[in-house]
Amino acid sequence: MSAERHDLEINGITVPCLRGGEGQRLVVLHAEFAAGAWGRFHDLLAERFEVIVPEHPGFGRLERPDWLDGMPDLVHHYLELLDRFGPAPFHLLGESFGGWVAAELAALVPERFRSLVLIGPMGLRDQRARTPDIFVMNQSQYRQLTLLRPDGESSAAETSRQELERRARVKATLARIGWNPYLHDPRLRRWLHRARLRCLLLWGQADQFIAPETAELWLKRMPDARLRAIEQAGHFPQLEQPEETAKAVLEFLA
Amino acid sequence: MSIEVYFFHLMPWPYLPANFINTHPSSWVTYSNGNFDPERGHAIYNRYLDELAYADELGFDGICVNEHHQTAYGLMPSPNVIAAMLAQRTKRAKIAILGNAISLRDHPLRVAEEVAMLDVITGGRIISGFVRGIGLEYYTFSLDPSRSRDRFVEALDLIVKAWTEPGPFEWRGREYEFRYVNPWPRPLQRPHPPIWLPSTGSPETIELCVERGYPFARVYERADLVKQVFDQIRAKGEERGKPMTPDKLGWMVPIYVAESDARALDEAGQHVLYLFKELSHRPFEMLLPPGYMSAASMGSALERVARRAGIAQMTVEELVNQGFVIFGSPQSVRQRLAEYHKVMGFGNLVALLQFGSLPADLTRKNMELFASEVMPKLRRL
Repeated sequence: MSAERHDLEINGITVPCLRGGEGQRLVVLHAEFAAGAWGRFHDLLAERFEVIVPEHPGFGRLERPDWLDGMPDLVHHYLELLDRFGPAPFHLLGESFGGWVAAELAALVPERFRSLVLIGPMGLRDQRARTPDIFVMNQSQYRQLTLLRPDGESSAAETSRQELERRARVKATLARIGWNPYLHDPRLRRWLHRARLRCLLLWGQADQFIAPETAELWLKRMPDARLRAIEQAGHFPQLEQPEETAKAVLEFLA
Repeated sequence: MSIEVYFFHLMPWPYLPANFINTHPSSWVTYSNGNFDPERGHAIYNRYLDELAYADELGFDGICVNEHHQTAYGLMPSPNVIAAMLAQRTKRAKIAILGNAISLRDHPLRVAEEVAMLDVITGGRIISGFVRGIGLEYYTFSLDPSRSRDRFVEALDLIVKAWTEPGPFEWRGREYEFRYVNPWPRPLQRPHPPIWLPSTGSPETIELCVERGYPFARVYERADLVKQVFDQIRAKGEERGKPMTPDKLGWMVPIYVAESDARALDEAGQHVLYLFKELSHRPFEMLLPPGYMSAASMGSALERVARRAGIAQMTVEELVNQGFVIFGSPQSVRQRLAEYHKVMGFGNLVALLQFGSLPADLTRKNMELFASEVMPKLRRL
């Protein structure tokens, strides 16, 4: 199955969205470096849902817009995007950085969503675990950290000048939002209990980036959340175990 | 036409263990301060202060200090503290702070205050350099590097306004907001102490120097590339009708003078390699953190860093031949400087006469030979 691309004009910028499948709407907020990616995981979800993946501004081909100065701006951007989708609630899924954004939205306007799925989300900081500093890492080190089986050397396309610049841009935007406090939001910790939603937390069992124990923090604050660990996967189970991860999501949403 | 000659000190930590590069990832940010021995620190700080004060006696036009954090590269996290001591120990030389890393300050008015104090106390001997702080220092303070450029320009504007316009006034910028700006004291020099911008020569800094007429100082680099940056600046100045005259161009370069060329290499070679290898040992991702430069600047920085990796492999002879450093007999050093001056057209020579692990006796000998055998010639270039 292939996704079609369509653009939304919003807040003075063009937001590229990928869309595929039919059914109830499922909006996917992508991980930090996953702008524009549509893979096996998305295909499986699109067999049962209308899957929409909007690109975070400043995380894809486009420069960070001047108005994007921190997480509150990104949250307001998505509130406007929600308005474009109309009043009917939909399912929301967020991966890693996208999981953080999804949780902020769920705490702010829980009534807009039918359910919430978070895969290895950033956003809460477990004081017991040291979160490795991904800003000091090159791409190869980041792959080592986030994947259980990093598959060999980086391809030539990944080390091209264009790709290096794109990644530099993404990292700069991520820094603007999550340099300090580091990839979390102390306010989210205080207000997450407002996200009164059915929630599924998915965590790769071998996640070395955001420790699986962090799930306890989420479960403590979200009474209607359940945790499902995905075996044989690092920080991105949707990449390393797409069948198993999609199955867990589909079962939960059924 | 004469050039001004400055004595620059980085105050390096000379005690990194043997084989450091192969056993540690960096001499910056993560190299444990457990390795800083305060007893040795006491001795070395006072030795370095003596060297700076000695430069005043030897007749240098100015003595220079700078700011770096969490590193063996330099022991001056607060350049203003060192400048304050020099204010009391020297009588004549200008004191150039090259520079205060104003983007790293949450309250840049602290810099406006401290530099004004120094200027008033020294009777107007201060040159006030401003820098952003290098990329690594955004890890040091967990400051968002993507704000670095905006913070620099805004802090610079704020400090200049605080020095030149009577307060109190209100400052409402994007990076800083202060309701009462009214620092006491104000500086003695009018309209304010000279502002220099030491830099690697990014397009943004070149633009600032030309537009505002601030002297530019280039940190040590391959000589032909230093010339290239000076050429760019001069061209930009001509284009804008704001000529960048020699007094607005400075070159900071390690120099070692000995009785002969061979002896210079022999005495100082290993010590300057310690600067280019051990003290400059740091991962690329830390040197250029996200957003520290525009995507365009990042492109050329990538190339420069690729070259830097090469520098760590270079021999002293290569460093000399390519003009990263100037080593030799008085005759050779005079000749090289005259040649470089002819093609580069700098008006300020910022000489790094102690570098890396160069010990006290050789530093003193270098300073004396330079002051007696080279400096007089520079006055007549």
